[in-house]
Amino acid sequence: MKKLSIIAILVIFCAVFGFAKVNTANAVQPIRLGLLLPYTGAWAWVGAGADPGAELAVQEINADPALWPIHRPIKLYKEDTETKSAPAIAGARKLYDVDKVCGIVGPTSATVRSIIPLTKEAGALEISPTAGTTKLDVIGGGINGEYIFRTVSSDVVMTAGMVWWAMNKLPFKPTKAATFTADTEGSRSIKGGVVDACKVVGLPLVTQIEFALNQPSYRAELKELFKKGPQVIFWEANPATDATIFKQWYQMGYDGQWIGSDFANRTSAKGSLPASEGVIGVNPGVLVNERTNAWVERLNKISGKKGATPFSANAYDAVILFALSIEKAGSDSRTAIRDALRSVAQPPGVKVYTYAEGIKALRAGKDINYEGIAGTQDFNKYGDPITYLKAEVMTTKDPSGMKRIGTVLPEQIKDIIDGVLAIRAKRAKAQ
Amino acid sequence: MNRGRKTRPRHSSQDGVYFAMEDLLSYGLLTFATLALPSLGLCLAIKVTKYFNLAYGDIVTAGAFLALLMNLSFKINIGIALLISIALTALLGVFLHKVVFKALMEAKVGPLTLLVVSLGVGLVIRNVVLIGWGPQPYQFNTPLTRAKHLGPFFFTPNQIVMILICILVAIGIFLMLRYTQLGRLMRATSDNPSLSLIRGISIEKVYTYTWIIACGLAAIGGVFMGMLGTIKPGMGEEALVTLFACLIVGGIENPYGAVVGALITAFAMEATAIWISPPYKVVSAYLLMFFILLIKPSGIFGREKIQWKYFLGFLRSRQ
Amino acid sequence: MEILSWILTIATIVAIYSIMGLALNVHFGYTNLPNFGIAGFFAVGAYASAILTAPHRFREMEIFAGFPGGVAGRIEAPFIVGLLAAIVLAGVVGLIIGIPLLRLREDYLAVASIGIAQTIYYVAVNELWLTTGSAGIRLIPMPTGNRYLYFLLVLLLLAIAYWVVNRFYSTPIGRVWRGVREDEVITASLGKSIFRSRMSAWIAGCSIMGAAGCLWAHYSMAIQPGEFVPTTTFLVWIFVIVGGLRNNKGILLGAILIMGFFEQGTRFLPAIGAPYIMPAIRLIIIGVLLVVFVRFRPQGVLPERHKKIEAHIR
Repeated sequence: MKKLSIIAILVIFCAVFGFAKVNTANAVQPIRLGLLLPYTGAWAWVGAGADPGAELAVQEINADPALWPIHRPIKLYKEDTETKSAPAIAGARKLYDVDKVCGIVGPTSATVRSIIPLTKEAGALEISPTAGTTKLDVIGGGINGEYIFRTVSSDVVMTAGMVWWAMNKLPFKPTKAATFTADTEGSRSIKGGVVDACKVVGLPLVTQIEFALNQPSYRAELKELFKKGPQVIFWEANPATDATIFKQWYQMGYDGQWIGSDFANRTSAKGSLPASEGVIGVNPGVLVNERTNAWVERLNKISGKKGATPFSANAYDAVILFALSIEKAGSDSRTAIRDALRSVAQPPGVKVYTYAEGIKALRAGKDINYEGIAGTQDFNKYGDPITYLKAEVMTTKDPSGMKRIGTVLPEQIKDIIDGVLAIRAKRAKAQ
Repeated sequence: MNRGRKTRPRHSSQDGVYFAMEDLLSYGLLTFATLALPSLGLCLAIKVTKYFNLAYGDIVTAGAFLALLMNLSFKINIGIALLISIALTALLGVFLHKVVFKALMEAKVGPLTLLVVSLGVGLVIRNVVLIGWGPQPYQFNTPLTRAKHLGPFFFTPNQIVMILICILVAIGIFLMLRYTQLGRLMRATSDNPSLSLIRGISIEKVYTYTWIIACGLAAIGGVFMGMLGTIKPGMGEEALVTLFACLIVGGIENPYGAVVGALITAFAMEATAIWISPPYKVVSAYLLMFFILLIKPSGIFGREKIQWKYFLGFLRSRQ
Repeated sequence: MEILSWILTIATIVAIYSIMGLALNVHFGYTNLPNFGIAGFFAVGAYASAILTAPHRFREMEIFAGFPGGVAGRIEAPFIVGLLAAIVLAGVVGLIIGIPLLRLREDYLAVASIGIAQTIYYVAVNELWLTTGSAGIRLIPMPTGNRYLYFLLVLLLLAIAYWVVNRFYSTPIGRVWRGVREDEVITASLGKSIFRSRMSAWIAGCSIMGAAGCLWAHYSMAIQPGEFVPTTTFLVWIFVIVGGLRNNKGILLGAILIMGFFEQGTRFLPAIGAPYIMPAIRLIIIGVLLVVFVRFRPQGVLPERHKKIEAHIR
């Protein structure tokens, strides 16, 4: 029996690492780039949404051999975080150690903090296209803005957009608002942002409720929520819970305008319509213009879905920024790329809007400032950009379940963001 | 500091305790309607087969998804979809029994081994459902209606039908157990399997019928859970421990206890949500279970006396 | 060289899970206490150590982001304090939970212990002041500062756990445990208290699980309640059953096979269809493996060394 098990181990070992060999031994020295996303688990929709964006970027970078960064194509190495930290660590380890990637695009708020120490140790660059958590805003010791960047804005921006929309774009002027958020890190991050933003604009929050996800019933919570008659409810949960909440909200006959975050998405709408008719989501979204329309069309060919999938633009920008940084650095060494990122992403420099434009300008010896699809991607000192936001409404009239009703631009919400950051700085000092 | 305290609903004076009681009555009854029948089914399965089946939660899920398949893909009315789902889920239960558990039971393995095996079976069902339908939530295609006040209650028409079905089916099962041949056989097999065998009862047949009934009830429970909330691959697994709490409160092999236990557990859960803290709703069911295990392991209908001495004299030996 | 570093990562995870497997062996293999609440004790150990050793910086950052600063980050104790606290606290929680649970029949105990683990999970999610809720605790220091040394530390603790659990097998108390497992009546008639011997085995196992939790917290450097769900428990059960119930070598082998190759090794396989399909298939295979093993080889790959209980009671 012992012999048998030893043989079994050897066979599995050979099979597994044989695969690794096959995987790594093709092509002429491509640049290795890691993509670490939750393809499974609670946030599988994030991975599924962001993945085509990264694929599209790689396709465009590799399209013309003359324009390859440092004359080598880019190859993506994908790992699944399963939305849990243990697999995320194992995945990141594999990317850094086995696949020897020059940097990582990913992961989400749920796992990003487990990966930060590894990235720091590897001396590499990590650009998260999805981690909006406000806890990344100030993460410690000069790591943020040095190793960790984001192509998605902090939740402070999204919540500022949510509150701005409530104050300026609703058919009525709200005087009473409430928060209704899940007890997860992402939702608490949203709640914290909404609370501070409401303080800035002077919108009183009459009720703040947190609840556990995936419960069969939310009637008690809803009853409590509407006791003081809030006109606007800022909420975040997950698709399964949204479906229950909205069905029971409708059955109980309550009123009120729901405004959600990036979790107010198509998956959520599909599960909760028709009860959730009229619910609004304010979240990162591309502008509507010729450039982005053409981009969305290209994306659709890859994703096979209509419209921009969640976080696809952010993942796209992250990969393009990697490629431009590599060209600027002149090598695929981890530290060199890291040091080059800011010089291609933010002013001063000529504004470039595509990868091809950028690389041509770089080769012409110019400084560039990449303006992304998701936003201008000009990083602040913490490595955070302010991206464009869009507002969508859940409706059965649109086959996808959501209809776009407007855009929120950075300059419109700048005052709210500044106010929130001032409140936070004051609070930190007071402690 | 404690967020749990912040979310704790405070009932203002003009609202009064009356309205909170009204909530409790309505919500408690709805939760009861989703728990009672699966709890009764699980009780019968344990009573006859003498082992704890951890796959039962996933059979509940399977029931809901089979009804969903009928309702969404074949556009069948939810009532008929429920009936078809009951039949299919019962078939699934019998299939599982014949393929997996029968051989093990014949090999006379202990109840614990069967429990571990059922864990694996549950894992398989849950992930097959996941592959088939994906992780996203689903809803039955039923008309959306607003709830209405009816005396002290606050229900939609569908919910009233659900509660009535639940009570009628439970009464039907009780009558069946008491007055039909099958019921007598089930009770006999439960009391003494070897004697029943000697008396010429086909135990295998009794097991089969038990599984048909238990899984049929699971399907009803799954559909009701789906009608109230949403349908997703993890729904039954999440409900499983709550179902066991219902059983233990009522006494594990007592069918009446299972239903009463579901009633107590449902009201305890909703009371916790109203007066203490909504996120601890499920925990209250578990705590109730531990409390009963501590003072009266045979459940509230058990014959033994309440054992308060275990609170203090726990260091004393069992013997 | 770097592939070694990756293997090391996997090896550390496997070693930590092996410690839990050994603890389960004390519970179930030696004493027939089916603990289905492993994730709960794992969480107690992880949180105890994380709360004590988290740096002050962590608390400051929480407050900056608009969250109430909790207990975590107030103390900033050294690792060894965290480890001891994890072991002691998991033992104490085990003691409290054991009082109602250990009088129960095995299958009741199994179901009730799932409830225990879930209760601990809900506490971890909801008691913000203590556990920072579902955001979890991060910036937990790795005591050696370097994961190569940390692997050695984990290996050392695994060796200690292995030695202790192996010793238990033949010490007087271990013999009583196995006596309880084989025949309660005979053991009781020899003047041994069933409840007390069960309790001692229960606490010993829970403490070891707590130690594993502490090692995990300091390894992943960030913990969240979402890691302590029933799936964690089931994985431990599955590799213990596949590897060989009641045989400590078998448990190590099972951990390597299931946790190492099956969970991590399949990362190399290409994805099929939608991204959730591959893990689902993995879990289906694990489920089938479990059924097949219990049906056809209940003793696992490596069975128990046949030390008949009679050899000790002469």
